[in-house]
Amino acid sequence: MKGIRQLLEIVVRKEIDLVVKKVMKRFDEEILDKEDPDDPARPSVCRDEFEQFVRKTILDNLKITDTSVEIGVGDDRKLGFGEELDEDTTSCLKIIGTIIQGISGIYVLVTDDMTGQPEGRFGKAFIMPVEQYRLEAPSKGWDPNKPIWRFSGFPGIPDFFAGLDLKELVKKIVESMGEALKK
Amino acid sequence: MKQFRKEDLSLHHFLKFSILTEYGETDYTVPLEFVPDASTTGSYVYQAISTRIPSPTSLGRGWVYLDAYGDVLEQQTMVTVYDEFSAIISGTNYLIDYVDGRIITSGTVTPSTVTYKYFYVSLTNDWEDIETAGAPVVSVILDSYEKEGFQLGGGERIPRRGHLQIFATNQAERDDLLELLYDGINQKCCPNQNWTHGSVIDWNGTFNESYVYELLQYRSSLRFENVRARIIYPPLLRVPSNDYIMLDDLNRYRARIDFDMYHYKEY
Repeated sequence: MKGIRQLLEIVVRKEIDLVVKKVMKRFDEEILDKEDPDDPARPSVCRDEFEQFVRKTILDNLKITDTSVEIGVGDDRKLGFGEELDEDTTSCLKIIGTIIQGISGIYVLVTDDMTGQPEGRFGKAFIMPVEQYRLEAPSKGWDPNKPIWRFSGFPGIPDFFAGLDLKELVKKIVESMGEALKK
Repeated sequence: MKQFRKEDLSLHHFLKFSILTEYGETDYTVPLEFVPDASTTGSYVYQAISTRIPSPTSLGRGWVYLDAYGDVLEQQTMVTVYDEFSAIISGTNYLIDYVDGRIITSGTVTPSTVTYKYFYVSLTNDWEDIETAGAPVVSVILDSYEKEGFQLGGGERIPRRGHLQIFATNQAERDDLLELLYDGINQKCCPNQNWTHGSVIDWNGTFNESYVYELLQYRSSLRFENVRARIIYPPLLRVPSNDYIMLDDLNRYRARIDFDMYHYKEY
């Protein structure tokens, strides 16, 4: 018979989507609901990438012992939650990290397409205060009338990764442990 | 006034007079300008014309109206008004509008300049106000609560979850404000005032003479727990190269303190 730690690890890794789904439900309800459907860099474009990121960070942060399971979601350095930003992040994660933390003031989102920098994993999207954008746009060949970023003046979602309901996962763990004990 | 509002007011008062007093600035011999449109016969209004940035009367700031935390009487040392000969005018000759920075007389004296202490750090209540106030600003947000029983019989534990959003003008100021506020509330408690006769400042910006410092019976302290401080660096603010001239950016020097503030209520 496998050890408790091994059993726990198998169950949690198998059922990890129960946690991912909770995070993505929050993402859909609290972020996608507020996006601009005409914005080519809207958060829904980043949804799949964010979901993969969430899944990977849960697996990376998983700490299992014989008596406990510790689950961590997200990566502060890639989402820019701390003073240090991991440069090995993507425009999508930066966009979502900024939305979660909130921005006071009116900004324009400068996308990868506009800067001519490569898109995807090493993309270089950023935001500029609207006055600065209007100042810079002509010399950079950007549309001076580009709409302001919909998440300007957004207070953020302070507890986005906190207080996730893990009842379903716990139930699965208990059931699996029960099954294993019967064998 | 319901308890939630009272606690919000108590917290503001505590932060302003017990913690952020360190950031009180004095503006010396500021010219006073007569405002005919706001004046009537027997009520003459003079506006202080300050050149300070941020303006001492911008949102969430204003002149200091108490000499010390816990006082119930109007300040005696924070505002001094002078006539055209630089002689001090007695405080009995005028009213002070602490919010808009104005002196109101009945016409018996003609004020010329004023020296006053003001709140350098703006303290606001809403996210929407942060930009209007301008850095440095601290926004106090109490955003959720869930009351729970704490003993057999009647009684409740009333926790309020809140956070302070700090927007500073530079890194040093951000770090100082963050630690000052953190130390100011961590393992501390704040007096839970009843505000029986309203807040310290009246609707028109003058001192509320009816104000009393009265604590709520059996629940006079609002205690802080789970206080956590961290610096915020919105990742999209990073600029990819040096060929951009960055204008002032309110979000560049940010920090945040999360906390739970609670008290017990017995029936």
